[in-house]
Amino acid sequence: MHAQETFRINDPQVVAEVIGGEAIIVNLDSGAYFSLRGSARLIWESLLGGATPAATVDALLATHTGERATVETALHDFLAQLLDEGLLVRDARDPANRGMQPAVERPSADTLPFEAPVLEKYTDMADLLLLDPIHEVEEQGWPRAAVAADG
Amino acid sequence: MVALAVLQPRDALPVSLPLISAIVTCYNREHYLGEAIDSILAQDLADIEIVLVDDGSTDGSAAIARAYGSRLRYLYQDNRGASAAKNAGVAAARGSYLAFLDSDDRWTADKLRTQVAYLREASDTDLLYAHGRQFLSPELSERDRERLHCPPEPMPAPISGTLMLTPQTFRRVGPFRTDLVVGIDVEWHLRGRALGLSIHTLPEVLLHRRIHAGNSALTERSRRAQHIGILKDHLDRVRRSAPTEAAR
Repeated sequence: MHAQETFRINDPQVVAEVIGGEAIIVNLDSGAYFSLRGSARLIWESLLGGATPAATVDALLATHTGERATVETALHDFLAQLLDEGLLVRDARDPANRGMQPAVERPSADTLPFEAPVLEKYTDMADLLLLDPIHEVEEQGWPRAAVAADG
Repeated sequence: MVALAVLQPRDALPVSLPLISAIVTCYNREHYLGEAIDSILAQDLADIEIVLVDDGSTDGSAAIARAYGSRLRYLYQDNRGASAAKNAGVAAARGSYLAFLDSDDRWTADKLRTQVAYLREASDTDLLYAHGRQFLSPELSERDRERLHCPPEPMPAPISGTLMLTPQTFRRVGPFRTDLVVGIDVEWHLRGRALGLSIHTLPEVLLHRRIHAGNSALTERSRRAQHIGILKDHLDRVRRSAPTEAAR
């Protein structure tokens, strides 16, 4: 892949959210779900924010200690996994419409040692996730719960 | 013996409790409700009570339900959501076993008999599920048929539509969460798993799940995101109980 490419979430079959510093990603086509913590979560947010892999490496090196080659290789491998799992796709939109954002925000004044990102994959809920959404998301019947659910 | 029975006040007569409570929950499903009820009445096992909880329907669902007369118990409540309706059905149920049916789905005729037979043999099973097969509702347009995803093969279906359990086990897990719109069954199932309940999924197809235009999740991202919070809770729970093990 090219260091200047950009990526987006594989919408609509993939949904994701960051909760408590952890990115949880669900592939509704396969029923697999994923956890991203540490550098994996930072890279995920950076790429979803419109940063290229090259910009993401720069941002990681600004907040972490480590060899550039090591970070580049780790990001390359991690990105390949995200693409293989169908969580991200290449963004073919006009760059002007991508809503570019800063890559990785500095979490603190201290730099941290870079640790390779890990894609934690879980398939224990596949049966439920493949079946569950169908009946409980309705326009005609049961349009909403009595109490709005925000959490 | 006969004389004694006649002399007893009517209220003191022994009450015969049903073997199974079939809990049907409904909100504005006039087009499908009759088929769901008929699939319960067609069960090849007697001793079933049908508890129909109407969650404030404004269409013809109530009239359809009432046409069945004493063959079902009709309960009405203001619209409070699918979970609240199921919980109300459980509260009203008198059977030794509970089963749930959404008002747009159908059971196969052997659903309840098959599961009761299994539970009587395998008394250590707490939550008994089965396979399900999905079908496209006949009224769908060609366009909708192409748009909607409907896997033709049977699928393991650990959802309430195939579930059978005792009221005691239900109380151990607790009620369905009323603050959720999606992931209701997922969240409930995970609570059961966290308790260490014995769970089994039968290979037989005992549920036919209707796919219709209104139940596509593809445009409901905000609601689907509720799944994520449920999964995060699940991961946290697994990590707390076995910090070195993954849920995988």
